[in-house]
Amino acid sequence: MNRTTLGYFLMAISAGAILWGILRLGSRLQAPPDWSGEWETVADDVQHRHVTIQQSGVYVHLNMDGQIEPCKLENGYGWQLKGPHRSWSTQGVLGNGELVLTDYASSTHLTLRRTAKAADGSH
Amino acid sequence: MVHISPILTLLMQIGIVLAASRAIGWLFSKFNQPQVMGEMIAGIMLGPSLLGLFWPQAMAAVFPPASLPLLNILSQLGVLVFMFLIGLELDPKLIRNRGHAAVLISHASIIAPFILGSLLALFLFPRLFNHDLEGHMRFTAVALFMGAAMSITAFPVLARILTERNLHRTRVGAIAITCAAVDDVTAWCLLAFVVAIARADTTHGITPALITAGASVIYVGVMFLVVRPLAGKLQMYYDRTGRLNQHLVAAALLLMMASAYVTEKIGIHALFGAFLMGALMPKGGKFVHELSVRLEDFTVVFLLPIFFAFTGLKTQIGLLDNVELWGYTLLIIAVACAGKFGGSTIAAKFSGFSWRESSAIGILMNTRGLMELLILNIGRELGVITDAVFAMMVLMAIITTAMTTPILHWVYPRKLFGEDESAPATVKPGFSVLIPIAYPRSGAGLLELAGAIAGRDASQTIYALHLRPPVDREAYRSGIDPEPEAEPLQPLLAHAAKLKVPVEPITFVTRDVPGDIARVAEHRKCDLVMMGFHKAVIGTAILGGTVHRVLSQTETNVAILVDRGYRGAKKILVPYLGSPHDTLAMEVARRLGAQPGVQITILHVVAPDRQMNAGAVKVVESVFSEPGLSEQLKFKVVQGEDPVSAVVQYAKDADLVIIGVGEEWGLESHLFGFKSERIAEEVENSLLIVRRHHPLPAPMPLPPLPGGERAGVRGETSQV
Repeated sequence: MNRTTLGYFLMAISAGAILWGILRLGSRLQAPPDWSGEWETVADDVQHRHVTIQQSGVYVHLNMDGQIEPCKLENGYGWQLKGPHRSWSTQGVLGNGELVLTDYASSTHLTLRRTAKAADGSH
Repeated sequence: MVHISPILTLLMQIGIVLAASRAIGWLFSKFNQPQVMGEMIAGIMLGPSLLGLFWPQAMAAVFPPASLPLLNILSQLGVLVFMFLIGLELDPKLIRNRGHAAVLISHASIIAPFILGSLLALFLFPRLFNHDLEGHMRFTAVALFMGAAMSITAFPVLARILTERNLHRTRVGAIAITCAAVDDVTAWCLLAFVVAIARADTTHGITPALITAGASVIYVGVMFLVVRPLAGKLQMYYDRTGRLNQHLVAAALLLMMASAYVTEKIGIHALFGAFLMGALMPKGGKFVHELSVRLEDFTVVFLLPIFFAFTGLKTQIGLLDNVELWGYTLLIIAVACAGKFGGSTIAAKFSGFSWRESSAIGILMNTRGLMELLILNIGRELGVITDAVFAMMVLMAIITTAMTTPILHWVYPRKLFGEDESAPATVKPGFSVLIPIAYPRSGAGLLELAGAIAGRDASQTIYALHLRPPVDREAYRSGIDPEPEAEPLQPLLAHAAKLKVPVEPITFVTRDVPGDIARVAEHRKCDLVMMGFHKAVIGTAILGGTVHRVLSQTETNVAILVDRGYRGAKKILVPYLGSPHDTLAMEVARRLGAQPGVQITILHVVAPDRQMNAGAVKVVESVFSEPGLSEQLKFKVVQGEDPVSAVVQYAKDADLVIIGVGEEWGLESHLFGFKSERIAEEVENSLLIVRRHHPLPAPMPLPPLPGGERAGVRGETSQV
């Protein structure tokens, strides 16, 4: 085996090892849950509202009846959706498929049920 | 709301997309950017990032959501045929005959960005991606996809840049094009693997991935062992009939569709199937070349802009609405450049290139262009990347492509490899004429006249220059023309061989024809640039358009031949008013006078009742000072109000009129034909319009006459 072949061999081995390490490390990472799609409110205490969530990781655009609010998801005691004017706390999507958003400042609850996922598989 | 039928909506959409894409593509090409860059940006402009942002009603009217599925199908069909074309263009020789340097650089230019892209995924995954609870290998798909997306090189755009800058004949260009071809094949294979992994995510663990892998191996085996020989039969059929008939086109398209169908069904995406089918078509013959020519115009002009528009509709730059997101965008661009540029540059340096050449290779490999958009669309469609990451990566693709040409120009300027580089070695002693030839069939008259002016001495040189503007097809495909480069000059060279006039051909691709004529003339130290006049599409001025720009940019003497059947001149008329350009006209005539039997008439036009100018006599005597010319020279003084009319009248008896530019003659270089060019229009014989930059050297001395008589000027006055 000449020096060049050995060099290539080492390059391929080290690249494979690095990639394996990256994939191992990454498998422990937790990305935010995927809430993107079309939702509507189901709780009785609020007016029926249509909500669209557009999400890229922790960056969320909450569109309530045409009013878009850019928010950011933060993981503390459960997920918190922080916008410029208000914050929502949530436990995420429940077993029955509902997403409950609670604004403690105004004691408002929003219970959302997904009507459609984001179009063409994207978020 | 007004209901518009789907077909009307589609026609309107396609019309707007085509117009915008052609217009902005053209605009970008004027700024030395690949046309495809402009077309990509046109697509983004029609989407929510610009039109939707400033005029949402218009965007909603032009692209109503219900119409998008149809547009999507057209766009998918476009990229399918395009990938087939890319496969057709793939030259297996580029991949097989790689030298040591190409092997190292191509491997490094894939591995480095792949690892860095995967590493970047570690940082971005918790921030910009979402965890699908059903998926078991979500990060794996994201990391591998980011790696593959960072590794891509836009082979077609790169080839276009190389051709435009005439780099493709250099060592740097050859290495870059080879590495790009290898990267393309590798990246598409990697992507097929990533797609299989990503699709397996949403189902049940590793089993579907293994099934896909097994099916892929069988598919590739069948393609090589069964389909490839079958495609070879198409070549044989073509060779037998000698033409590409519609049955052959249909058979090739059927094979492509079948291959795409199978790969989509297996789970490694239809685009891979189309690409592989194209790559396995028989290479080397005219069949593939003709097939790609047949398919490309409709694909590139009609279908690809729809793909760009559809990509633009999905690109929401508005999502990047805070500093953090723009920071991530910059990080993605930095990692993309570090991986591709850094990896290739270091590998090239390691392979023995200079730092400057290594950087040029790195910059070229960093071009991503349209191929990146194809990959990104697949990633978005699979749900591997989010909307914000899609927008960031589209920006990265545009920026890395846009930066290639200017940075390459800065790092690896043309003087290092182009015409200027070889200047000291190629400049030849003696008189030299440069004749730029625009069309293959033109130039016979120019050549004969140039040969006569240069003389038959061995030290004289005639350069025939053909500058080829880049053609549209090169915006997307390899653009390395398989035809011999000097092909357009062949008729001229054959004519030169017949006349026994030695001609040195020069051919290259340029966007700046007048500028490069000037540069070649300067570099070769030509004494005279002589070009023909071709009637312009817009404007009628003889000294307008390209001719105007050559006249104003070239730092040597220039002559424009208005060829009205020139086949040698025995009677030459040189109108003279006293300008330096008129003196050049006499000098050119003097060189022609070195041929036996040539009669030269100097026509000096003066105001009525005035005698000839003594200064004029001195100039004529100094130009025609050599012994033996007096017999051939006639100095005619004409009194008249209108010098132009006098020239037109006396030109009737001449085979060739040589005249200096100048307002006195109604001949001045200008862009449009605002001024009268009466002489050019009314003189019935061939006309050579000259513009002086420096004096011409004297021709080889004529044999002295008995008694050593010098030329003397004897004026003969008449009135017009």
